[in-house]
Amino acid sequence: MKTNPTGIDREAATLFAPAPGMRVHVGDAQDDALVRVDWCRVAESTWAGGLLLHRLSSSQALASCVDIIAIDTDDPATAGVMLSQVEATHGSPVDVVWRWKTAGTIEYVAEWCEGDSFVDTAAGPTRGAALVAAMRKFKEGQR
Amino acid sequence: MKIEPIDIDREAASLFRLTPGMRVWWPVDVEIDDMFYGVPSLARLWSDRLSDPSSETPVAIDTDDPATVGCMHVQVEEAEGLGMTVEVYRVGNGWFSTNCRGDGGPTRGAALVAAMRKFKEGQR
Repeated sequence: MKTNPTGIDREAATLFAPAPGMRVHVGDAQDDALVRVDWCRVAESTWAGGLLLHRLSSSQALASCVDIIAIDTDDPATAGVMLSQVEATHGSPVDVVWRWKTAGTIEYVAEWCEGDSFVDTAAGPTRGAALVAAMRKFKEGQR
Repeated sequence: MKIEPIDIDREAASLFRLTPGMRVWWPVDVEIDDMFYGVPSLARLWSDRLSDPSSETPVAIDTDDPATVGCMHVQVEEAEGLGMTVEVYRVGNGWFSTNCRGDGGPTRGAALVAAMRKFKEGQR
């Protein structure tokens, strides 16, 4: 399991909203300084306006004062939530397919349509990275 | 959000193993070591919150929950093996299919259940 977030994970935190099931990298802030950084899973509900997180290393914590530093784009549950957010932003289903690249590596491609017409794709080295690229395109298109 | 499991959710519980992030229904007598405030015993709890997830069997798995579908997707890929990357895609008329086995289903989760069902049948 990932211990350090990647650049894609950090970008994902700026594009996706924390939602139940996601594995997120959070930092506890105290006097504007990070005092602890930890991986947590976002719980079912929010409480008192803050995120309720399941800490993997300790009991539950109310995390209204935490910063989400990154989202684990390689975590299966997180990728599932990201796909639903990409679809909600686009307004219709998005398919993540794959294709071979050179040297036997795989590239993941998110494809989306308008009605029956193919519109565009976004690619990345993992399913999560392809979804980050897709969300980046959607958000840039909204500006 | 779904409040009662449907048949496909109950079947999913017999086909997929529990992994962190899944939304599941537990039998009422399951003791959870770390239940958080306000959550009744039949609502979503977390496999990484159980003292020993391997010893518990949920009543159902929410096949419409995005995080749960993500976990199921990876398990179908593992079952297929050989580095197989499974695609779940729309085929029109509100139907989802996969590029492996099974007849698909009305949701992504249902299509993955169909794929895993076929895989397990093939193992017998």
